[in-house]
Amino acid sequence: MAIIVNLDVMMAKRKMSLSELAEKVGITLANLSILKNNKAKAIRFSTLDAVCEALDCQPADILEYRKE
Amino acid sequence: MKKNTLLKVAIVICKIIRVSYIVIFLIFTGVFVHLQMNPSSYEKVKFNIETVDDGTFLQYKYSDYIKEKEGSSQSQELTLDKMKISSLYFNFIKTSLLFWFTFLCVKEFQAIIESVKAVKTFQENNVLSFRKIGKYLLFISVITMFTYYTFKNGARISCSVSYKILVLSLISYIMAEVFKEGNNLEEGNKLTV
Repeated sequence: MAIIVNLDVMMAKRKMSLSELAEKVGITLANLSILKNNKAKAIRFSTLDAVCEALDCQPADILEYRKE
Repeated sequence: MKKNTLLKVAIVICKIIRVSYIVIFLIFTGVFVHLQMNPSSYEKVKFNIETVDDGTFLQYKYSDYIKEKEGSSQSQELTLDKMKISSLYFNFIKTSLLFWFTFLCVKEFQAIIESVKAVKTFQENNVLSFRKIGKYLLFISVITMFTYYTFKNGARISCSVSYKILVLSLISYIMAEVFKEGNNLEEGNKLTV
């Protein structure tokens, strides 16, 4: 997919672990792993909103479009 | 899933059909062997050559004749003991293959029902099962195309295509595509975070 999720970059910047983020966002660790590993086919606005709030960032900091 | 009696009954029926297919096939094989060892036992088993080809199209009869022996009123009676050996073997292999493919169809159908019962409806396995059923039905359609009955006093050799089996095969392939789309939707849903 041409959309890349840079969740790990933002997590490293904020020095936040995956389990900590999962707890803050309110989604399971398994689902967050799917998102982090670029396996997700779609992301809900509510999830994106929660992730941005937890990491104090913009959607563009997490999502990136790369031409294939 | 809550108790679904219909699915349970369907699974039981499938199992009964599979067991009865094995039993019928064994009896059929026994009769085939016994017929060759002792053909005189079957001289009263009449054979109706004028079978109605219901549900067929593109029918082509190569030959369909009854040799009449002069002065004999029994000449038109086709009995199993008068069947030629080539025809006997042809029909045994044909019926065996029919049994085998129908058995496989029932087996795959049972697997689909069991997965639906286990709430694993839209899975890749079911797509493959429907495709297999479609393939088996195509094989059955090809097998049933040819009719080859040759007796010492008559014969019937024909070639016809049964559209009923072809339609069933097409429905199976369509169901495979429906389940494939269902599988894609379910996977998309699963991977939505």
